[in-house]
Amino acid sequence: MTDFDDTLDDTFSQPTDHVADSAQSVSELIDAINALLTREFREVWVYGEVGKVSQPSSGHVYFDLVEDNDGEKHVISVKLWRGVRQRLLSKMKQHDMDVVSGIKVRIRGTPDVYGATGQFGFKMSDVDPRFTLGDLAAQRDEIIAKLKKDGVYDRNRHTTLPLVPLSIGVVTSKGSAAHADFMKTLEESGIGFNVTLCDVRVQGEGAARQVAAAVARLGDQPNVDVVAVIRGGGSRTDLATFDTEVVARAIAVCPKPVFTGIGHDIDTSIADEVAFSWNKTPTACAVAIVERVNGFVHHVDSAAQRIANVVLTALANSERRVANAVGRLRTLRTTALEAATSRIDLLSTELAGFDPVVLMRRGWSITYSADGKVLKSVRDIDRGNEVTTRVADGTVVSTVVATTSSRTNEQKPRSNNNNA
Amino acid sequence: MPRKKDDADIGYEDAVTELEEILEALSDDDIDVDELAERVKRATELVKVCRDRIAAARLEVKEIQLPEESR
Repeated sequence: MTDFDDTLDDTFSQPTDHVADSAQSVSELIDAINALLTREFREVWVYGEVGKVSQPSSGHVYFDLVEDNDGEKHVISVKLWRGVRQRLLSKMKQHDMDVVSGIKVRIRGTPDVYGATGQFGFKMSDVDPRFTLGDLAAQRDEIIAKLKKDGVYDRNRHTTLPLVPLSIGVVTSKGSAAHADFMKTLEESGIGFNVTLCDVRVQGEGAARQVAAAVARLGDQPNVDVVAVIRGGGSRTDLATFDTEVVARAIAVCPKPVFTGIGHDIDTSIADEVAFSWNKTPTACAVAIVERVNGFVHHVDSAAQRIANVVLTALANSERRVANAVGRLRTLRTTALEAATSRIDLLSTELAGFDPVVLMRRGWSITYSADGKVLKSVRDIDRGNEVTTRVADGTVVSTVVATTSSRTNEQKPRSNNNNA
Repeated sequence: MPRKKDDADIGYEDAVTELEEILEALSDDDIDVDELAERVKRATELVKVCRDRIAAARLEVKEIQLPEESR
């Protein structure tokens, strides 16, 4: 042993009595500090942004309350005991809020030091939901104003939705109920959709950044027709991710139409507001896409039906025209035949009038000169000539005695009978 | 006459436009019977192409990852 060691030994072996008298145990000190804190800061209100949140199975909730002054951070660890949380739940539910990362809160409670860890913290006893909601509304207005100023606010709504959006990029938490509901609707449609999934966190730290990146990524895929952003129901503060500028902006500038299906009970998020089509639930979102495709199918079917109708009408018209023509032809033929028959009958009657046999029966006769020619004029015959007269039942041979012209009364030897 | 395109590549918009054109042509009372037959044949093909492409394929799913810096 050296002198030094002796000295050291002395120091520890001879405690100074006046220090020992006033010393407190660790727990005593912590209790004293807590008593002081309670006296000075009992039930104070404090506001800040919710940072990291952890919710173990015990039912207690632990979160960081953060004040960020341009990068200079001040943090208090807040403890929300299970009992207090139960008491506050109905109040928070009524205002559609929950304690989630990224929202601003005003809470009441008492600072304390936790004996088991020595950590300084804050025991939360109450919350002012109106502060949170007012902040969300103000933040929301601010983001919308910013997007409008940048000229991107309604950009996605002006993208063109393909007639048949078969390729869908899906941004959601893989395996969630929202994901299952969406896929079930697509499957049941029987349509051959092509889904590209990008798995993201939809709430909590980093969720907004992931959702925004996924929207951008899927929007850039050449084979993606539409991007669907879906998430199951939750409180308004639960859905804070979809009220962030980074997500709203990613949707607004996405080159493909974005369909949202973010479960909301009451309000729409900024994501919904800037999206091409917003739908209340993931199922409704899938239905909207299915309906677009079915609309096309119906359009094609209706065109096919109209074409079939035109063809049927054309065929019916042709058949009717042919039937009409045949009918007209029949009528025409009958009429023509009848007309021809009666004309022939008429002609026969007329012709019969010219038959010499008939005329002779009435008393007319024909006289031939000796050379066999029909005697038509007194000038063709002289007295003493022999003539032959044909009557209905035979011939008479005569000799001309005299002729007389009926025009001049010129005396000429006449035959002994009348000429026709 | 109907525009002939390779049906494997024909877009839905083009298919519908062509169907509408055919329908309009068919509505003409003076259409020739041979042309009618030709147009109806083409329309049937177009309807089949559209329907088959939508209904035939089964639902396909693939996954893509977020960029490293966003995870």
